[in-house]
Amino acid sequence: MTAVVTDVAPGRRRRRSAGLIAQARRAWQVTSAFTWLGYTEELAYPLNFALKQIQPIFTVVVYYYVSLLVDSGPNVANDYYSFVVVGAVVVRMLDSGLGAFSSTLEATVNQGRLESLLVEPIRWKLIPFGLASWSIMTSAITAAVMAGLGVLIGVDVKLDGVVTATLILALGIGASHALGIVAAAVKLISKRGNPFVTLYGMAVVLLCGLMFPVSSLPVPLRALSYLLPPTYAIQGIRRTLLPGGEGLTGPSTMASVLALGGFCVVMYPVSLWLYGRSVDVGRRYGTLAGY
Amino acid sequence: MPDSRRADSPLVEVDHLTKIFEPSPAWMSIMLKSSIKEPVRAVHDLSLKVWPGQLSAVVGPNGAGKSTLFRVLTGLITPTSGWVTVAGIDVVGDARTARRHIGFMPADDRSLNLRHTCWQNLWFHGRLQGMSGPKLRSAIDESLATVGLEHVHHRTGHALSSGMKARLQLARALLHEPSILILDEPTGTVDPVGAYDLLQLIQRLAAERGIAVLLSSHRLEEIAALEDNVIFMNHGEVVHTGSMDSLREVMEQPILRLRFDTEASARAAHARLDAFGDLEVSIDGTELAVAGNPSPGVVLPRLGEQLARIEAVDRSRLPLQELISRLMRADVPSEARTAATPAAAPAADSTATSPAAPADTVRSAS
Repeated sequence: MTAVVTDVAPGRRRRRSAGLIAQARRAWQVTSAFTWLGYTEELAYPLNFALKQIQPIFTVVVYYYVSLLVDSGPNVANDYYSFVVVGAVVVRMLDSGLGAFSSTLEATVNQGRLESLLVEPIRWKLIPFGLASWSIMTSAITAAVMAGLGVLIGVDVKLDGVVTATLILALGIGASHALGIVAAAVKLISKRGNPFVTLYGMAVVLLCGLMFPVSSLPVPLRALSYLLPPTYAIQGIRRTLLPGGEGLTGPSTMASVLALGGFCVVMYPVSLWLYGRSVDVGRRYGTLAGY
Repeated sequence: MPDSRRADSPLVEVDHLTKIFEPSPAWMSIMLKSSIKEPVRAVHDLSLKVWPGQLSAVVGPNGAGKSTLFRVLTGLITPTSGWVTVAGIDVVGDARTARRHIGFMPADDRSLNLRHTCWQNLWFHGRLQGMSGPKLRSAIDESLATVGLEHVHHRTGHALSSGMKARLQLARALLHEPSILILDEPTGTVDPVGAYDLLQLIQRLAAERGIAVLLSSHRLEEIAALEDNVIFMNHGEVVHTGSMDSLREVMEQPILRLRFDTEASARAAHARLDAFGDLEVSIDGTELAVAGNPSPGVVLPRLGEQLARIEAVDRSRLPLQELISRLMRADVPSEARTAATPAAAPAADSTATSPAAPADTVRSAS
């Protein structure tokens, strides 16, 4: 009997592995098709594409001149320019997922193409990921260009912190994408606008320490800021990358990693469940493909 | 040939389907205002089957429930009750697998990416269908050739005529070799000649490839062309299914008109026919009108010597538009609802039934 169990188990494992590989291959196939779609659509409007890429570069230059007027004390790691550019790059990376999930979904609904996508034999949960894939990719490239330009103009970073910073950034993007899926779930029902994204975007700018330290905020607002993943991502990356980062107030590097990991573990299943419920509601009330 | 194409089982089977759209709950109305204030019955207790190689047209006015039916079949809407299978797969339980068997053509040509070329539109669809490499490329070329667009494969959607866009949508629906085509008003924006050609193509594909085709249409000439397999819907119910001839038998009840040489002859003939007591005869000058769909073979021998006085016999048929209009306005006789070929019939036939609507509190879609 034992021998039989021993024989069967590897077979099951192989089948399970093969199934997972097939699913991953399928997910890649679908996502790459959507990325190609985004790429070809973007290049259909070249001027718009070029301006979108140039605009963040101007932001970095503007921050440089603003930093000349700001006192760089220990609460900004003794270098306001580096402090604000790191914040801007991180927010750009994190925002890309959040905004892209709902905005691309809205565009697809308004262009009348959602229905034809929904009748394709793909997991509906893959659709927001697919639609947002190109936008996320270009945001990542733009953020990298911003970071590179910042370094060229004078942002000072510790290279030994890059690995930890990358981990924090990945977790931050994961948490942000989970919230993006929630936004897409709301969008499937609300169709236009997205109160969730609007409110969240305002909260990030005000509360997460993009342009000034969270410690500058009154205590009640500071408490609110710790409910938002970007706070941990920005602070964690500043601590690991900026030469004077250890002296910054706010969550430690470990606290940032744990908080963002916790966000991902909790928010991903919750957001996917919400998205599934939103699809079910749309199918029930017949509003899925409408606008 | 996969099991799903076996000729002895229907590819589309709808069993007592009902869809009632409820008003949105308050929490949902905050985000999206609903136009529905009370439950709307879009489809009521509808049953139908479509067999391999069969083309069935779903016909009805706006609000008849055609699009709701198609959306249920493609898994975009969940039914309130009833059972829907596509290629033997439960659409509610496993919509994704069911959709692999379906080629869908929405009514709106905006579903195409008009910035992309014909080839690119098909490539994207093929990738989502799980196709790749040389197989995908040859399938695209073949689909474009099937619909006659191979010479414009490099043109963007914006540069296509309405007829070409419809053909491109059909090519997209055919790309993954589905066993079922669901075409929502495929000729809606196409000129009459183009629409005729497209319909011919669809009929040929259904016959040659054994595809079950379910299409909706408003065009009278199409309804006439597809007269063997027409499903008439109104207020969410099937009001007639089968051939146009069976519809005429139930709905038309033509009047037999007899014109005599003189008024005296007409009056004499009227008296003779009246004497039998089983015909409804009226007289107007030299003309007699015999109602109730009588056969000339029954009426004429009863005229005796007046038969020689007849100058003209007319038993005209109603124009199709008038016939359908009557059907949609009428309380349809019960035999009209079940005029379809029996369910046990072989693959070439369809069935569609819906019982009389019960008196309930649900408003029909309009």
